[in-house]
Amino acid sequence: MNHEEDRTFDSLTVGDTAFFEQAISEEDVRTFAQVSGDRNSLHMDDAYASSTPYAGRIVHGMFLGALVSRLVGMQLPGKRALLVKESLEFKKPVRIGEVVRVSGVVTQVSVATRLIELNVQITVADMLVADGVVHVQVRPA
Amino acid sequence: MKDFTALVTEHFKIATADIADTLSAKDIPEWDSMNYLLFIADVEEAYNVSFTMDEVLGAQTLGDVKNMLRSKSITI
Repeated sequence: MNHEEDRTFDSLTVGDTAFFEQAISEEDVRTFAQVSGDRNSLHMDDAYASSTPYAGRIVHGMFLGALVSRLVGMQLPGKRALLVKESLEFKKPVRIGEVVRVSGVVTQVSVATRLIELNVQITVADMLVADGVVHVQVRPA
Repeated sequence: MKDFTALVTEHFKIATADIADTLSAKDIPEWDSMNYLLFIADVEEAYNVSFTMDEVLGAQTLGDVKNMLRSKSITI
């Protein structure tokens, strides 16, 4: 999805939602490892990861955090977003090839600060794998 | 609901005993412009009030923020 939404602050209300789905590929994980420098064996080494209780490689938690950045930067609110704070709790491991659904709902709108608060959830086949809260400032232009 | 003191300690990382109405950005290292706005947004949510941009930008101290609440008939 390359379309960048452009929601103005005045158009946003509590209860507004947005979501997208993405299959996480091997290339995604390798690219994130390269960009972040996090080549931890649990994410990158099949043999090692198979020997752990996770029985295989898992996706970086902060890759999911980056998908939340995409949610606010491209959809809710989109173009005018300035991500101010992001808190995520990782509840279940995500494996390469799984399809994640990243969704957010506006829970607070502050006119004085132009901040909105979103509750975000990331699920795989309806199972919650991560959730949290983000605060986004909606810039005038 | 978190009260004003709890919000101050959470956002500005200062002990309850050290909180004073006279404290301002000059006294609190964590009081940067964005953290202040996050604090204000949480105060609005906690007390179910809405401030204006002028009120928010005009407040210089914690006491000023308390006075903003009092102006909305909040007892604090």
